[in-house]
Amino acid sequence: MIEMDNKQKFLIYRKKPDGKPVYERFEVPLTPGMSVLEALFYIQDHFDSSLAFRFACRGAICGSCGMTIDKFPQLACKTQVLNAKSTKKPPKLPQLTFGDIPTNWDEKTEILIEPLPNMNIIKDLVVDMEPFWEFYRYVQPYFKREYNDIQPESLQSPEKARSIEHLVYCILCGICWTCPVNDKNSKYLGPTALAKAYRFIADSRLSDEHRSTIVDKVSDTNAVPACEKHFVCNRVCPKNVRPGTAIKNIREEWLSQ
Amino acid sequence: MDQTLNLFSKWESNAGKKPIEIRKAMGETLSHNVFVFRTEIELQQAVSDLKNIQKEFNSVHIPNITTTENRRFNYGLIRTLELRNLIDIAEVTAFAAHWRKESRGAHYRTDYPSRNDDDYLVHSMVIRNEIGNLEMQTKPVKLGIFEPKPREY
Repeated sequence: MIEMDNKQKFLIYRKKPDGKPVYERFEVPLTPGMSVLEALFYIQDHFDSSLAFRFACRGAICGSCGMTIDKFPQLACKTQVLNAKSTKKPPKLPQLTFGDIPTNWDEKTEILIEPLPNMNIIKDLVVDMEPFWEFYRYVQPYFKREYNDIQPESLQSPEKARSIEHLVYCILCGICWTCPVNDKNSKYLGPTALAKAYRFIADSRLSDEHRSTIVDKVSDTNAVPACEKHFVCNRVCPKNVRPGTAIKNIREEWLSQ
Repeated sequence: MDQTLNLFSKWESNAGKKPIEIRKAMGETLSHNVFVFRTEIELQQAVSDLKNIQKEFNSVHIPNITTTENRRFNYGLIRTLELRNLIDIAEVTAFAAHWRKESRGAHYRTDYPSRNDDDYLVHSMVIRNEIGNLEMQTKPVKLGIFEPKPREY
């Protein structure tokens, strides 16, 4: 690896399981193409082995490394250190507060790293995703069809497949929980579960019986009707899933009946 | 459990290198000496390098791992445990590649470019003996209905 002279300062949210949040500053020597996730590895390897953050694939496909970078929830592996400051943020993001940011934070040059919003923080940048998974399981996002020897396939036309393709790209990273409704209502199913529900409701291969089960579940007060149409989810999603549009589609196509 | 806790307190009180330095050294010898085209000299080098790397890992140091709270979500610790396994596998890979003086499948040696069924049509099984050295044992291959022959395209 070619070493460059440049260094990047990071201001990182730290919290022990029972402690108070603090912010720590680290300076990382840059390498070409370095992502924020790689910078976190450098900090863990060289400065503090106890720095906690989730990761797995390093290539924006596993959805483990969602975190708030400069007040904008993103995937750490998909965010280049050099572009973190210059990339334009989506408009109208909610105010995200995790702790008292040191007054000497140099907003122009130092990259601020915080956990995902609207989830309980376990340690440092690791959040408790259990409610997220609970709501995900609750909408039963799977096929229930019985297979038999005579007709093992469920056919789908290419057009039908394409119409739900963008929803299939969801990697369950939890970034869309930036939604202001998730902030005030801990029972709100959240954009992920609802987008996943629509991915199955709109799938031509789903049985009518299972479709009505899912529609019932997402008709609940804390599901589709709770959405306030901020569309923050559409703007922060790293995979262009457009969960807000999916929720809007459920509302228009299934709840008016 | 006691064994693991003893290991952790040893790692914490050790005064050796950081895991990252050892991981880098391991990666370097593997990508220089146990890569796609292999030779006797390079594989010998890798085997001896990895022996040293094992020794260095024995005195690896990582801080703050002796209390339960500090171990919670301590990925530095998890990655050190992974490194321990990686070094074991690296050592076995280099040892077996050095032993197998032939080319077979993905194992390609420029000094022995052809297959040698007389000596090496066996499973290679590497074990660590009582004094900590690697030893090669072999097991016959069950060929089933297929007769072994060179793969030609």
